[in-house]
Amino acid sequence: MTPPAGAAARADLGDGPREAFEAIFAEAYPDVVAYARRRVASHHDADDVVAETFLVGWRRVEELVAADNPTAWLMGVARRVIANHRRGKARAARTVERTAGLAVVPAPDTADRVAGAEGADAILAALATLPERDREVLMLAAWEGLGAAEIGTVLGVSPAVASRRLFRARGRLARALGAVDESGEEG
Amino acid sequence: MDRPSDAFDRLRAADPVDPARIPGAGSPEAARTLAWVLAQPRDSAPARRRRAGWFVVVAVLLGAAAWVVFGPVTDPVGTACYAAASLDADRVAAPSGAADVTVCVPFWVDGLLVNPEVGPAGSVPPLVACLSDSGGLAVFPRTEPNVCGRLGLASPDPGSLPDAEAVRALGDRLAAHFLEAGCQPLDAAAVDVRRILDEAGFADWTVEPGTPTPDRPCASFSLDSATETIHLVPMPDV
Repeated sequence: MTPPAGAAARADLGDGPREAFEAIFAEAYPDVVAYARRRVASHHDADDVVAETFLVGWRRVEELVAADNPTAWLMGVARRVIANHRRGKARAARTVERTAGLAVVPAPDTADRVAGAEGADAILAALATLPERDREVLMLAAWEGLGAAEIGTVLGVSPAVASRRLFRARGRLARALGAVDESGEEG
Repeated sequence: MDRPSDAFDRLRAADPVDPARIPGAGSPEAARTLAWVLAQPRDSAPARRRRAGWFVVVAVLLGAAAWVVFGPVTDPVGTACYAAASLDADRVAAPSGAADVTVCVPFWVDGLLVNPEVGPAGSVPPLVACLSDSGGLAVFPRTEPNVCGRLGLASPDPGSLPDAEAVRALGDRLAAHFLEAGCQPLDAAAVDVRRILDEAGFADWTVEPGTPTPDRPCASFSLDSATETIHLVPMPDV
């Protein structure tokens, strides 16, 4: 996964908000879809997240166009949209435990691919033991391929804070993986 | 296939999404999404309904620059300062162009905004800025970590997390707890601190209990925001 090109195809509001939005949509759509599918088990729900995310972008097109990296900005919106969906589901069904696992449940049609990757089960199990904050920063770096500046945009923190969080999360992931590997060998 | 030795490399290899199966911007799925989004009004229906019911109650000049309105926010790029963390609360409108919560401070100091639940008249509570549907700032007393989310408003910072203000409030709450608890054993304190963290929106923080000794049986605490850890410190029973 390559990092989003961001402002490479920077839209210009001088062309009108609709044209600017369409240019950013064309650039960001695949990355936003991938972001949602990595975090939401159902493709149907992921599509809802994508649509809501771009709707927020459309309603706040001036901010979107002004963002240093519109794709990362949209991922930050998608993150909140997913969090809102989880809160709604938790409230409705009181299934907090199940929804908390959404972030690391592979979508059905990609499960075979993950299972085929060497050690995928162990690393995903290790990832699932970490707090949401750690999981998100790790997924942004490993799967979205984002750097600290882009991660900072998604999380609403400075690049320095993003770097520190990523550093700590990598350490926790390594420790969690060690524990999972160890329990697997004992079993 | 060799298995990557580094945990992070193994995570990279475990990406659940195959990029080749992601629809591109020219796909029918993308076209449907784009058409749906562009068909939506840029001003959300609930916001329009809210604004339709708003009315101006009073307008007074405040100082040299600010103007004040109790009632609706009609300026789409202005800042609305609310007396409580509710969209139905009394509000004061500040001039357009305000960039942060400080524009609301004079209204609290001058007593134009008063809320006994957040502090005595003339005091300024911790404030938080959210984005209104029309893109202006809406500033509320910070009575909880996620005011914007609860009100269905966006935060100016995408994905905002508990900030220094919230951490300070957490420290105040923990201090109040330990003052009230007296000499609390460390294991009991660990349970209480865990509950407070969860309630305050810091569920992913860690509690690290120290080891009590006969002459230090009571728990106190230190808060380390850098590592997001509450250390429980054994103290003498004084």
